[in-house]
Amino acid sequence: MKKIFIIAAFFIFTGIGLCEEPRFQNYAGYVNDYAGILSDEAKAKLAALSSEIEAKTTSQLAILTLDTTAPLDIETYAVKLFEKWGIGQKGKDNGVLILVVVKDRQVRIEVGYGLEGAIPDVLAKNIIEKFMRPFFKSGDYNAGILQGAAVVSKLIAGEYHVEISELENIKIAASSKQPSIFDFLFIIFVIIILIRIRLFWFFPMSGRVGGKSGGYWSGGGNSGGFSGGFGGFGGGFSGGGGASGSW
Amino acid sequence: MKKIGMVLLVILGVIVVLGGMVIAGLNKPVILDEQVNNTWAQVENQLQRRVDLIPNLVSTVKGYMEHERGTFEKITELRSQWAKAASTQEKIETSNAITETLSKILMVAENYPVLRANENFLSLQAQLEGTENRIAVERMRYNDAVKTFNAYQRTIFGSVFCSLRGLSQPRVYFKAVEGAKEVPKVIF
Repeated sequence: MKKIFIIAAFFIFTGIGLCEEPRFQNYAGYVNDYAGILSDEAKAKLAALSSEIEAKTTSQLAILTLDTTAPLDIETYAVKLFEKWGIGQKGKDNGVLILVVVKDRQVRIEVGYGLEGAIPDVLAKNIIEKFMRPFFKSGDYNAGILQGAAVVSKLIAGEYHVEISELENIKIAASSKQPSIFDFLFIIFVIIILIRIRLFWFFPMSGRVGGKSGGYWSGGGNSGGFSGGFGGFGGGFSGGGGASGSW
Repeated sequence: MKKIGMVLLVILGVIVVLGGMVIAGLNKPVILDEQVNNTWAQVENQLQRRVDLIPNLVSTVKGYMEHERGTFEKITELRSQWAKAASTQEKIETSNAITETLSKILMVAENYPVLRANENFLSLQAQLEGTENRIAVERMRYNDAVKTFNAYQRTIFGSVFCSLRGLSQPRVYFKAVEGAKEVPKVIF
């Protein structure tokens, strides 16, 4: 009898196999600031943004800041963490991860399979170079991450033909070295959208932000409360789409 | 009487458990083999995507890099070789050669400031970087699947089940060229 149990146990355990992955951080919400570089205000804005995106498009935008990804490089870390967290809905793979690694001075936008059309590598690279890198260089992580997340959100919103009102709280302004006509048109476009949405607004901005952020996690992101918009990530996959950059 | 009933019950239980194990064992090689096929298809997609970028890259940089004609001929040749490659092993070898030649072209392009200011080239470079990374990711998943399959083949029961299903040939790993992931980056 005992032997049978031992054999059965052997089969069960060999079937499961050993986990050799390096330890990845767990998530506590859309925004996971393990490097501690984001202000509470920025966290609240990002969380509200991600929450609205998921509500309107089912896409999931995750933000993670870390000190280092060692021993892995940022690309490998991003794709493995993406898979482990399962950012995006299962089957749709419509997730995006913005990963900022402070000590390594690297940033990556990892795009799930389902959003590779909305955010091709070239655009991801452009977002990093034009909207994030300049801010990171001057040490303004809040602005850089907010800008990056805002542009990514715009692209996702465009893919699903929805408008994200939370974007009103984040002014998109590329601080590129040589602003092109495209950038100006883009800003004007955003302003027009903002004005259009504003017409339907009856509440002051600050009250809205405060009220919305109340339902999310607080501080370092370890409260684990899934109240508010966040109900965990959905099991999406990425295949290395996106771009990386360093500053 | 009670004792005999117990013994019968235990024997029945053992038969059910063993039967389940045999069925699961017979299914497992097929499932693992399909996993390898699936992940390989993903690798091939990405390799194809990279090959499709080659003509565009060549036409963009050819004008600037006259004395690299030999390299361009080589990459074009590798491209048609890729189209002809039939076996997995052939495809892996060809794609490794493509990786090397491509990274050489991109490395040499670094020395041409005109190219580094060329929007078309920069966008191609971003696409190539992205594709290299995708290849790396899919290759990792493929190799994981191969590892699981090959390891199962070599376990005591696995070898029996695999040969029963006619799947006793180990699958090929996709060994990458050293530093294949290092697409030279443009420094601004």
